Amino acid sequence: MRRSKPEADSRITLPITAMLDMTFQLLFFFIINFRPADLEGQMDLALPSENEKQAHDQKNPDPSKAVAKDPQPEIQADLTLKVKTPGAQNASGAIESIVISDARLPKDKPEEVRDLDALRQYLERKKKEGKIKDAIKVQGDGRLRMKHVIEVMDICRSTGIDKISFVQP
Amino acid sequence: MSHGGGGGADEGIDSDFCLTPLLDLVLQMLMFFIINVNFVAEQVSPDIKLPRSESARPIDKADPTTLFLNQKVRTEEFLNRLPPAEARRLRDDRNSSVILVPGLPPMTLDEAKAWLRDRHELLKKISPDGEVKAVIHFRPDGDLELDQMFQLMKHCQTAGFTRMKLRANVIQRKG
Repeated sequence: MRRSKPEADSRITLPITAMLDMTFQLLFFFIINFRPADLEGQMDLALPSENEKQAHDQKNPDPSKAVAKDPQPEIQADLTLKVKTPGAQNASGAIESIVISDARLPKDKPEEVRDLDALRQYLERKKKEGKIKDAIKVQGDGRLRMKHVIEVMDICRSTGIDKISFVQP
Repeated sequence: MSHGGGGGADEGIDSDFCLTPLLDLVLQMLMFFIINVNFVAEQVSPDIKLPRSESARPIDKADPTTLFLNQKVRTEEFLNRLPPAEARRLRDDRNSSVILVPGLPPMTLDEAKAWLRDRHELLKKISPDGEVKAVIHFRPDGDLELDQMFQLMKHCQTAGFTRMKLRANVIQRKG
């Protein structure tokens, strides 16, 4: 196909202004509506165990009846952390103290730590001594807030204890 | 804004702005914001302020089916935003938390128990091998009491769900 010789001053100009205007408007819209979401992560949860609660309950010490109802495999852990909150008059749901009991030493007096730093030091010490495995049980007060539960879980995981199961409050 | 073809052409002066790089940049920024915008997250509830965790792992995309259970403290501020009949129903509940599942009205713990049971039965029916592989993802409010979440966990367990995960916002460590 033969093309006619283009004239010297013929230039094709695209109407960019309108497109640029629209693009800027869209850009402003998205900039204004842009809210970077927090990065969400997940943690494994071990189900609460029926027999565990009943074993802790002095009135009903026989857990055998509940075993059949509970299909979950029990996490074998020696240490139990009982996280206490302040009394009813102060319902902040914060951590007051953490009582650590060892199932292998039922006659020993449970150790009590006052804060999370002390808990971390305790767990690190026990881990160094090789006295704890990678599993632990956490039993919190019913009023304990979830943000504090996560803090306790973080401390456990930072010391290499990955299997955390819960005991009913 | 000039886009060429101005009066200067007659005098032999080309006064065109070089718009192409600007347009390229603007379009790239536009693409970035379009891709990253999230107006309303699909399964999560904006009412929930998740607890923060240092040890939470990235979300596992391989979960076959995920069921989100958002649990929130029942506050007056939240109830005031609901229709009066719904607010009254939740206010009368003996528990202090509300379960939020996207696409459904807010539920009490007892209502959630019934819903979980129905949901498990439905999933069991449609599953080819009759096994429910759904994973429950708990999204609790940071201020929620442990006792309330425990009750919800028990309801899931009673309904037949066995796999559960806890969601938290990851604390980004510097350096």
